[in-house]
Amino acid sequence: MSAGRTAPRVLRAGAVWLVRLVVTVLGVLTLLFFLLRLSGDPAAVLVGPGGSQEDIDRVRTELGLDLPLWTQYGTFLGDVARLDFGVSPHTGEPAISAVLARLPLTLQIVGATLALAVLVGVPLGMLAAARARHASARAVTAAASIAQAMPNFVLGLLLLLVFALWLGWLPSYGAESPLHAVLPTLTLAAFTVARVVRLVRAGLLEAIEQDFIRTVRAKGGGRLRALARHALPNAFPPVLAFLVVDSAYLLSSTVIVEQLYAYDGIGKQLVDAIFQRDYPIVQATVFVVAVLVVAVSAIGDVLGALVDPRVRREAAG
Amino acid sequence: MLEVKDLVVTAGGVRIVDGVSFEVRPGEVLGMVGESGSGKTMTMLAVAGLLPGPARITGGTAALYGTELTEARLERIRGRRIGFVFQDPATSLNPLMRVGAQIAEVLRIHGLGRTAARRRAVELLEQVGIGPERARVYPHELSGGMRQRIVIAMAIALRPALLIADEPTTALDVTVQEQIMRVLRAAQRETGAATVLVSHDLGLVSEAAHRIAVMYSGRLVETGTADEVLGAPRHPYSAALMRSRPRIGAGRGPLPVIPGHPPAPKSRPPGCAFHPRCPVALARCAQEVPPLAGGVACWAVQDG
Repeated sequence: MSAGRTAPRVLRAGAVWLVRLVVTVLGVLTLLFFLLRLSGDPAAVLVGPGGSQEDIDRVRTELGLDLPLWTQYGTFLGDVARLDFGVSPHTGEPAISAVLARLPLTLQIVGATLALAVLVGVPLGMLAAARARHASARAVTAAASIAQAMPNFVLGLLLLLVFALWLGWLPSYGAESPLHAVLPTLTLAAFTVARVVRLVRAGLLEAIEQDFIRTVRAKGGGRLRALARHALPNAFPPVLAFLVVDSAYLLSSTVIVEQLYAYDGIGKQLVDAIFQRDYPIVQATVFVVAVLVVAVSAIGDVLGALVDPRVRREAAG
Repeated sequence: MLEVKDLVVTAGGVRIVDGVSFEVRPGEVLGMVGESGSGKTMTMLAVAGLLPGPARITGGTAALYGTELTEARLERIRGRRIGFVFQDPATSLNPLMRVGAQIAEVLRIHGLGRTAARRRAVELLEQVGIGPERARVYPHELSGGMRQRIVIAMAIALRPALLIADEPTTALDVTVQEQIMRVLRAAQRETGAATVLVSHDLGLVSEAAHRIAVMYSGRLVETGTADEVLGAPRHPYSAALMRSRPRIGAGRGPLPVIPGHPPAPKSRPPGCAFHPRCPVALARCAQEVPPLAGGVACWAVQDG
């Protein structure tokens, strides 16, 4: 616990995180590199159906695709180290800039989803636990079950129908204004918020049975204090663990949800790139998502250690 | 001064505490003894209004200095007028909160300011024999004995009129038990609280208690001064309990045991609950519950 040991511990945690980042990103990109090579000859695709064998050979030499696979892999890694994923053959823009330009839109709906999970999911979960037998709590729990069970493309179509077509309250496609982010966010958030409600409820119902809650009551603390100040932090670790895993899931769900609402984030960009065989964009997207996922799990570790002193000690080992 | 009259606690349609009455005077330590499942803990949890989920008070009253302990009143005075020390210090502290803050919390709840509460928490730590620098540690960084000292510090923080210690040393190493009892008795003397010490350990009770109440199957079967009950027990159950206690110098040979098992409350036999195991049971014992009269609830003693 002494301050003198804190600095090296933070440094060590930082070093561990860096190693994890490099290993994960390297693994994902290596896999992607070989899978893309297995999926067919990019030169033939680029030249198109009408091209002659000479054209294909020329493109192949230009792109270095005639070199041995290991040489290509080495070049690829060297490029990645410089964050150079090549240029999109369709727009002529460097792939990484194209992806980073779209990233804020995706982060907007994923971030809003996580915020809803905490600001709406946690209070509803507390309500569901505090008044477990009350009708309002039952309604919350039932609603959470339904939201959790509904696939996001079905929910997305439903929301589109009701709020864009019938009521006309919200735009049905595009990403020009924050208003355009509302329906994609709701579609994305339904599962996450529902899961958080259920996790908080289950965690609280378990925590409330613990001896230390009785101690709080013995000290004269009311039910609300016992629930919010003592049970809730103890119910938090599973919620945090879920949100970390779910962040990765949310990033991949944007592929569907952004497509549905023609929302111009990296999910829609990725789908478009795959259909156009735009490998630089695909690789840059995968790289950015891998970095994000590792970063989120690192943030999760830090938050977990902040909440639970026992985790801090384990980490110090 | 605590007065409990005809207390009944019911859980799932079964009386787990069945008409218990007793008194504890200021400064006095009442030892409440009996086998596990005899209802000692439930009796005291009921007095403090801390009964677990399915259990409810369905009869009787408890009063502290003449004021009846209703649920609403208990909500206000718990922690201030009544202090509770629990059995297992490993689970009775919040693992995510510094121990100093947990002690300060009871003071904050009952109206002390932040700084005053923190200062007083440090004093309390010293009073239970823990250095003030430990205020900032978490429960998992302390031993079981240290944690129990923290729980005791919380219980006596506001100098309660009633101190309830439920098996305070059962979960601890034998070597630590002695220290914890010393801390507890010092705290009890210092606060002058009427104290109930719940324990299945007769040795422990005999050292600490002025008076003793013996429970069996949810009922009180004998009360008296420590000397009376320990030296010359009158109820056959108390007598058997005293005989089955290991003593130095008692010679070799197996310890006498009470044949049979204490009944579960839902299969409690009619009449005196002890009669199937009692060596001196009369015909009447199987039909009528003997009242607690003259400190003993036994037909054989009262009629004989």
